[in-house]
This record gives sequence, C-alpha cells and structure tokens, in this order.
Amino acid sequence: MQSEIDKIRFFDGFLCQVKRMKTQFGAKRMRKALATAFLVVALGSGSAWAEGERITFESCGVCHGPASRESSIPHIQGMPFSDLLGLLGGFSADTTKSTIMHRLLLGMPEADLEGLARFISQIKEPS
Amino acid sequence: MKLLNRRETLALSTAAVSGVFLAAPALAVGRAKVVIVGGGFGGASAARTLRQVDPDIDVTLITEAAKFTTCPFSNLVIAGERPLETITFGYSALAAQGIEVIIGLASGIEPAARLVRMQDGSTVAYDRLVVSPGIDLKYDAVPGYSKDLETLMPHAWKAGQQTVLLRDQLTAMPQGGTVLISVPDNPYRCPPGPYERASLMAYYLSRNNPTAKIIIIDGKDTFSKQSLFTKAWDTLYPNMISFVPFASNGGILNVDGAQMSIVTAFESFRGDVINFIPPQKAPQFLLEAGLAGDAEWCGIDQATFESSFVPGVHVLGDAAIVGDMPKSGFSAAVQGAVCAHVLAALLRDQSPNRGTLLNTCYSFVSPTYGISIAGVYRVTEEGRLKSVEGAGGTSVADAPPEARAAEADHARSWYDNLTTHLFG
Ligand SMILES: Cc1cc2nc3c(=O)[nH]c(=O)nc-3n(C[C@H](O)[C@H](O)[C@H](O)COP(=O)(O)OP(=O)(O)OC[C@H]3O[C@@H](n4cnc5c(N)ncnc54)[C@H](O)[C@@H]3O)c2cc1C
Repeated sequence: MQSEIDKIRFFDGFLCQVKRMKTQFGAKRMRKALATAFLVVALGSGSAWAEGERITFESCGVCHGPASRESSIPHIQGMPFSDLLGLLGGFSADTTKSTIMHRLLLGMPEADLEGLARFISQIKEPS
Repeated sequence: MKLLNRRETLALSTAAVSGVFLAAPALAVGRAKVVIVGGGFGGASAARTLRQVDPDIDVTLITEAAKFTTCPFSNLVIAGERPLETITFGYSALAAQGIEVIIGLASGIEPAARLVRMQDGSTVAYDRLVVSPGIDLKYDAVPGYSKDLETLMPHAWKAGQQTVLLRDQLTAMPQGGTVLISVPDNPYRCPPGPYERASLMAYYLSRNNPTAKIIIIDGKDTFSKQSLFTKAWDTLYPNMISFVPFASNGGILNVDGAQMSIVTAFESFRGDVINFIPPQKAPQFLLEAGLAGDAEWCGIDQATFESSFVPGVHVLGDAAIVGDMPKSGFSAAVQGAVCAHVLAALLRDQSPNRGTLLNTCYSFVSPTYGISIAGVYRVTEEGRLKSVEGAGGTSVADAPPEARAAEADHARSWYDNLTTHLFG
C-alpha cells in the first residue's frame, strides 16, 4: 500500500515528468502521451513514467545484481525510497564520494533522481 | 494475447490475396516472433529481456556456436590468471526460459520476405529481426597480412582458441623476448582493450620474464584512459611497455610472417610474439543485406535501433553506430535490453518509452589495480544518442591504491553479475 506522503511524492514526480516531456516532445504528442499515462494510472497497473525508469534501470542492473548474487557492488533493489534518494542526490551533487557512481549521476535532474529512487525502492525480488 | 500490428494484418491480407503464406509463418498462429542473430552480449541480453518484458512474444536466438567465450576477461586468461572455461558459457538457461535456440550460421537476410537465410540452406521467418553479431576482421586491409597469419600472429580479438594461442605463445617466449601489439585506428571493438592486454601481459612477464619488452605499434596517436594507463605502467612495470603512436611510426607498410616483423614507414619492428589486431567492420552478411549503406558499420535510428536502410531489422552492439556509445560488452548488453522494450512496444503498436543508457568499461592494469571510463547517454530531440555533458569520465588520476583495488573488485563483480544475468 502506498502511504499518503508517497502518493503526494508520486504526483510530484509525475508532474515533473509531464513538464519535461512537454519540452521534449511538444504539446500535441504530449496530449496523446498524457491520455495514455492517465489511462494506465487509472487502471492501476503502475505509472507511465515508471516505464522510462524501468528502461534506465536496465543499465543499473548490469552491475547491481539481485541479493542472491555475491558482489562487491551494493545491492540496491528494494532499498527504502528516502535512503536511495539521499544516495543518488549525493552522487549527483558530487558530495557523496565513490569510485564511479558520481560519474554516472553527475547533474541528473532532481525529478529523474526521484523517479529512479522510487522505481528502485519498489523492486520486489522473489525470495 | 494476439499480437498483430497493422503492418502484419496488411501482410496477412496481401498474402491471402496472392496465395503466398510462406513469407511469415509466425503470423499464422497469431503470436509475434522476434528473431535474434548473435548470442553474445547484445543478442543474449535482447533475448532474455524480451522474455521477461513480454512472454507473449516468441523469441528465437540464432547463434554460431553452442558455447560463447567472452572477450571481456580474456586478457586475464592470456596473463594466466583465469582458465578459459571460466569465461565460456552455454545457452541452456535461455532454452529453459522458452527461448528457441538455433545453433548455426546465418548467411543472409531477405527483408522483403522477412526471412533469415541460414548457411545450411534453411530459413527462419521473423516479424522483427535483431542482429548483434559483433565484428568481422578485415584480413585484407594491411599489406602482407592475411588470414593465413592469424595462427602465427594471433589477434585474440574474438575470444576462444585465439586467446589460448596467444597465452601459450606468451608463456613460451624466450627470456628477454619482445612482444609486439599492433593496434588499428578507430573505430574498433573495445577502445581500451589493447592497453589492458599490454598491462596484463606485463603483469605476467614482470613475474616470469622480467627482461622482456612490449611494444605497442598504434594506428592512432592517443588512446582511451591513456594517462591512467601510462602512469600505472611507470609504477608497476617500469620500462617494460613502450607506446609508438601513429605520428612516430607513420603507418604499417608490411607485415612479414617469415621475418616475424612489422615494417612501418619510419621503423621496422621484430617480435618474438606478435599480437596483430587487424582493423574491423560490421560482419559481411550485414553489409551484403544493405544494413550499412555504402559504409562499413550499420547506421540505425538511435532511439529504436531500427536500421536506417532496412525496415524491421534492428542492429545492436559492435556492428552498429549507436550514437556516442563505445563498442563494449556493457553497451551491447544495455542496448539489447533497451531494444527489447522497444520491440515489445512496437509489436503492440505503441510508441516506445525512453530512458537513460549507461556504459562503464573497466580495465585491469593488474589483477588488483582497476581503472574505468564511464558514459551517460540520452536521445536528443534530433534523435541522436548523445553523451550527457558533464557526466561520465575516467577514474580520478591520483586515487589511492584502495580505490584501484576497489575498482578491480567492482570489475569482477560486474563481470559475474552480467554473465549470470545473460547466461546463468
Ligand atoms: C580483448 C577484449 C577485451 C574486452 N573487454 C571488455 C570489457 O572489459 N568490458 C566490456 O564491456 N567490453 C569488453 N570488450 C568488448 C566486447 O567484447 C564487445 O563489445 C561485445 O562482445 C559486443 O557485443 P556484440 O553483441 O556486438 O557481439 P558479441 O558479443 O561478439 O556477440 C556476437 C555473437 O554472434 C555470433 N555470430 C556472429 N556472426 C554470426 C552469424 N552469421 N550467425 C550466427 N551467429 C553469429 C558470434 O559467434 C557471437 O556469439 C572486450 C573486447 C576485447 C576484444
């Protein structure tokens, strides 16, 4: 179940995404995309913007494997949203040091960080 | 779920009128069929992701051999740090997931009929085709060099027997001998690969043949992670590796098997072991299918990977020009996964979503000294997959040994995770 505050953040994220798409794709395609997006949300089958995050996470998953695999690279799937947002934000602002993550996230827009953190936090692995 | 898009419905009705049903048998049962040629990084990733994203799409993977040996980590095999078996994988896990695996050589594409032609004369029909067959070596591009020399001077740029051959030649080299590594001009598979190879050969030699030398004869003047590599060489392998840039060799005039020599415009080099890495291009059967126009690498729509020349065919990995992304296994695997999402959308007549694509190329300077170069890519409004400005870049220049050791560990974890994800 989503908590109230999560729902608010969810819509925050969604609106940011809408704004970004508008500048990227122009108003006409936007209306079509929005219609689809609302349909998907209404159907309760996940958010449309999470699809973009899902594609981005394909790159993350090349290194960050499931918990069942031993690794020197941290397991992040299903971590709490706020922890993830803190981490990603730190890398993006170059205040959290690491061998590589700051290079991959440097300057990533706030809305994208939030969307990605939310997506990763919601990943459920088969136990 | 029935997956017929408009084009397919049209194809079906045309077929019915003309009475030709041979062209697309997959349509007869109403499931869309994606065929993938090449069971390496791009192809295996596309196949597995597609299975996961949309179980209603039939997936067939055509690949040359029952076993795939990865080029990543093959330089560790050459240095005697890993047996070849640990970088060799089969396809049973893919088959167990319901991916139809066909072992055989694809020899041609007939886009009008939507068929892949196999070397044994059979054909495989597709609704959409993905090709990720890697590279062809240009055996005829350098004077004196030919395929006949690849045993004497192994390239080891396709992993397997070639890797073992080079390892054995390195091990058998007389004390104080010289290794020549000939590197082509860009573009070629794995930009930092030759320098990782020089590093790991030096690692082996510094322990077993400390007076030996390695000379890199390059077709260009600078290379990937150059300052990181050369600084590490000075510390770890002083005076062992020398780099001869294009400006100092003037290009190769002749490769001589009998003399075991490489003659350049300015100097002649003799080697006890010669690792000759020839220039490369997209595989010939892709060029013959018109996928590269009159160029040597395949041009694509960088958002969907669909060929700029042949509709319905998507090209991934080393064979394609994928915007600013380098020719790496990491990139190919990411492209395969993203392409799977694109295909699932297109086959439902939806417009595909976009995300951010990443690449990281790790290189070992020694087994406990890792460095990396990373890139972040997004499709621009003009449809180019471009590097995001300000992001990406190399490991820092003055990192402490712990950071280099951590990157070496990350490289091993990257490899284990990715190969398990693709083949496990
Ligand atoms: C020495 C070396 C070190 C490297 N190290 C790294 C590294 O550390 N990290 C990294 O990310 N990348 C590395 N790379 C690069 C990486 O190997 C390639 O970029 C990657 O393999 C490209 O993937 P691909 O899918 O395009 O092709 P491949 O992975 O080569 O897969 C192609 C597959 O298609 C098959 N095939 C080809 N033609 C046909 C046909 N006609 N019919 C059927 N099957 C066919 C081949 O047999 C093969 O199985 C390295 C490369 C080299 C040479």
